[in-house]
Formats: sequence, structure tokens, C-alpha cells
Amino acid sequence: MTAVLEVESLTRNFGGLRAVDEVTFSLRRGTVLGLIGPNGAGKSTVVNLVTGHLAPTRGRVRVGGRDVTGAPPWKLVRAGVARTFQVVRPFEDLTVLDNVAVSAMYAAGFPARAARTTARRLLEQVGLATRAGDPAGQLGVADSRRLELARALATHPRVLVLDEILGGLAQREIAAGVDLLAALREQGIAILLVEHHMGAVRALCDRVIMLERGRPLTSGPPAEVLSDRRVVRAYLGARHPGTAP
Amino acid sequence: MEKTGRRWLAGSAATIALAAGGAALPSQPLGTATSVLLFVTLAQSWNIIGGFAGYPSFGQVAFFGVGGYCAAVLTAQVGFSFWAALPASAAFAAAFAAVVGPPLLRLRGNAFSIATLGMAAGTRELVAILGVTGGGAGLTVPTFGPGPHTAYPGALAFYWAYLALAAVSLAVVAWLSASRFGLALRAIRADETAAESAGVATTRTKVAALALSALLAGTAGALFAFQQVVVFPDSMFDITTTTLMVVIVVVGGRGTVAGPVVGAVVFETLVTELHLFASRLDPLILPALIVVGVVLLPDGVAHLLPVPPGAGRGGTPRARPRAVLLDAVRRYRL
Repeated sequence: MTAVLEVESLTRNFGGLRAVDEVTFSLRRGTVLGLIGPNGAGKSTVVNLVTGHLAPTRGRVRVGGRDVTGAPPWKLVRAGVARTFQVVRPFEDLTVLDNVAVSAMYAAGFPARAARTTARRLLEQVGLATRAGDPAGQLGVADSRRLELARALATHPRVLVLDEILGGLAQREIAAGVDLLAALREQGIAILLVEHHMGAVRALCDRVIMLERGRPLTSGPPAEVLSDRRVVRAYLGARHPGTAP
Repeated sequence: MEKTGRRWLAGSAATIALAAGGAALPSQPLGTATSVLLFVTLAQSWNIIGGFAGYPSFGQVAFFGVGGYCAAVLTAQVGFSFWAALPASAAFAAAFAAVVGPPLLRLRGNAFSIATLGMAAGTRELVAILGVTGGGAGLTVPTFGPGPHTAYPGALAFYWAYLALAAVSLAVVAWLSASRFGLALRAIRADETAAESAGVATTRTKVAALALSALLAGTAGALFAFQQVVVFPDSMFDITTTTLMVVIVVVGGRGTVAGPVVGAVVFETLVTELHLFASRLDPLILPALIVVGVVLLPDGVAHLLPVPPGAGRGGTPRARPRAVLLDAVRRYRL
């Protein structure tokens, strides 16, 4: 089976700084790839590069075999690459329902009525149905993350790029989030998971790439990568990352 | 759906009533009413780009001027009848916006506002030096004589023409407010990066909004040129025209359907009447009213209306006057 997302020698410079350096990976249908690393390692830059928010200095991005390097975000999302934002970006003065409907209309191509039906179904799925009529600016952190996910799902994605979707959530909310993501993986969606929560990484990922200063330090199955001494040192000094709060 | 139908019916009935009422008005109030209707259109034009899309254009008068000059050039230099020149001028203003739009709309916030101000000033200078526009001496729309001309239809006919245009503008914005296109514009205003991630082709959408707003402003400009008969760069590209559009929409309610109408009625009536009865005071009274209006009602008068703006779906909740006052007191420590 061919990969839905292929990234080859992806490199991005900001002036003299190389934020992302020769990152290569591929992602198959129904698999989850974790991207971990300390703050400033280049994870969010990788997210911006594969979703079109930044153009790479060098390297290629392919979706379903088609070269989409340098395409703008709206083209990438229509090609099937959806994202969530690390710092949530709801359309604050639109209702929760319309927030999701925008994606269903413009990325998935639904007419207005069908888009709202789809949006309603997705709000059910992420557990936000009761807030459908509220302005999105009134949502709390956890609900804003659910909205981010619903908006991304409404684009009808082949690949979901999740930038710390579990960040700032309580333990119980994280467990619910992990279950939700596992269900999406079962549906065949490929996920690129940028995450600091190692429990979630271990529970969800098929493979993990550890980035440090823009370079892939190591990669492999989560158990292997997370017990790698270099990874442990980069994250926590002597402590094991699995015991992180 | 039924509610929408009733709204359209009410709008049509109001338009017909206003059209009949105009015939009964003496000439001075008719003049004021005509001016109000012109500003309903101009305010709705600004509302599309500045209100819905959140791009505060300070160069909107350029589209008004381009529309007016296009009508003058087509009638005076090419021999068109005015009624043939009217749609051509509207289309030309929209095309002009589609050309100047992409570079302007790459900018955001204050940079965008300043660039549009410059665009309008530049357009005016260009018109003032070109031969075909008559330069600084202006250009006369032929209304009589042996050559091709369009007979001057009189004050009541202009009132009706501006009324028809205002009704169309209102209908366009009412449609926009409930449409996919309008939702995309509101998403852009709320967060352009997130809108792009939701699949909205932002540049194309913004340029379309600017062109639609220019289509309305350009039509108004063409009518205005005919009404004035003689057009000058100073009259067609008057910065005050832009200022009024902005003030009317901001005071009336940005991104709402009814706000600009309310704002235009209140403001144009005040401007005209103040000028007639207290011409020395109006430079003081108007700015004072604007400040008071913006402080007390930052979201505009429309948010006090019984029907909340935003066409029901995704509209912001209605503000209560008491809450608005208390909020202003808290924020400004009045």
C-alpha cells in the first residue's frame, strides 16, 4: 500500500537558523506517526511545512503520490491534509456549528445544508453537540480543542496533522482524546501526532521520530525510541519520560 | 425559509412605499432623502469589505470616483447614452477593484488601510492629469444638444434611482449575510490563517468581496456623476465620502444587514440638517457624536435592534442598552 503523505529531505531555514534539517518520513493509511522533541526542536515548523503554512527551503511533500510542495494551505487541505493549531484559533464570533461548517463547505465541498448536517454529526462525535449554537469564543480550553478536531475532521481528511491537541488538558480529558484518536485511526485516517504527552504517544503511535534542533535524532517503534538514552537526556535529564506528569 | 420570505416581502413593500412617498416630498427634504439613499448604498459597499471581511478600506471613494468618471467618459467622449454607460461603469469599477485588490489585500490591519488611502489618492491624481477625463477642468455629462445625450431626468427620478440602488445593495448584503460566501468572509475576519486551513481560498475570496463592494460604489458613482452633470476630481474622489462610509457602518454596526441603513439615515440626515441650520457648529457636533457613538456602542446601533444581526446563524447576541452603558462605564471609567 502506498503512503498517503510522503516527506522527503524537508529543510527550512529562517535567516541563518536551520529550523528543520533533512526530515524524511512517510505515513500510511490508518497509521499514527509521533513527532516528539523538546521545545524549539522544529516540530511546529514541520507541521507548518506539511500543511502549506510555510514553504520549504528544500525538500518535497507528496500527498497520495502528488507533489504539493509549496502549495498554499487551502489547496493542501482540499488535497486531504488537515491540521489543528497548537494555540487554538476558533472563529470566535461564529457559532460552534458554523466553525465546523466552514471546513465542510470549503475543504470538503459540501453545499451549505449538507455541510451543517455533517458539522452536527462531527460535533456529536467529539462531544460538543450541546454547544453547537454558542459563539466559539465562549468555549473553554478542552472544548476549544474538540472544536479544532471537529473542524479538521470536517475537511474530510486523509491525513490529520495534530499539533499538541492534548496540550493543557486534564488526565481524564486526555484519556477521552486518546480514545477518539484511536477511533479515527481505525477509520483509516493517517495521523501525524506532535505531542508532549508520552502516555498518549505510547498508546497511539506506530512509529515515533525524535527531533532535536531540527534534525531527526532517532526513529522507530515508541517503546524503543522512548527508552533511548539520548531521548531521555534531551527531554528530562536523568528521569524517564514515561514518568513525566 | 418562511422567515426569509417574509423579510423580502417587507423589504419590497417598504421600497414601494418609499418610492410613492418621495413623490409627495418638497424639494429640500427630497434632496436630503436622496442623499441618505446614496449613503445607504455606499455604506453597504464598505460593509462588505470593511464589515464582513474585516478589511477596513479607506480608499473606497476610488471605486465611486472610477464609476462616476467611467460614466462621464463614456457619455461625453464615446457617445453612450447614460443608461448604457451605467452598467458598463459598474462593471469597470469592479474590474478596477479586481486589479488593485490582490496587492492591497496582501496587507492586513493598518497597513491595508493606509495603502487603500494611497490607492484612492493615486487614482484621483491619475484622473486629474489624463486627457480623456478632462483633467482638473472636469468633464460634462451631455444632457441636451444636437449630439448624443441623455435628457436630465429631474430630482424625483434621481431619488427613485438611488432608492432602487439602495434596495439592491440591501438585498445583496442580506443575501451575503446568509450565504456560503458571507460565511467565508466572516471566517476570514475572525482568523485568516484558520480560514485558509478550513479550505477557504482567502486571496480570491477577499478580491471577490472588494470587487462586489466596488460594483455597488461604482454604480452609485455613475448615478452621482449624472446627477451632478459636471464631474471634477475633487467632487468624485472626496475623502469625506470614504470617511462617512466608515463612520456610518461603524456607528450602525459592522457586518450587519440593518446597521448601515440605520447609520446612513441618522448620519446623512444629521449632516445635511446640521449644515443647513448650524453650519458653524457641525465640525464640532459631528465628531462629538461619533466619539459618543463609538464609546457607547462599539458594536454599532444594530446590536440594539430586536432582531440580532448576523442573519440568525452565528450572529452575536443582542446587547441590552443598560448592559451596554454599564460596560462603557466600566471600560472607560466614566
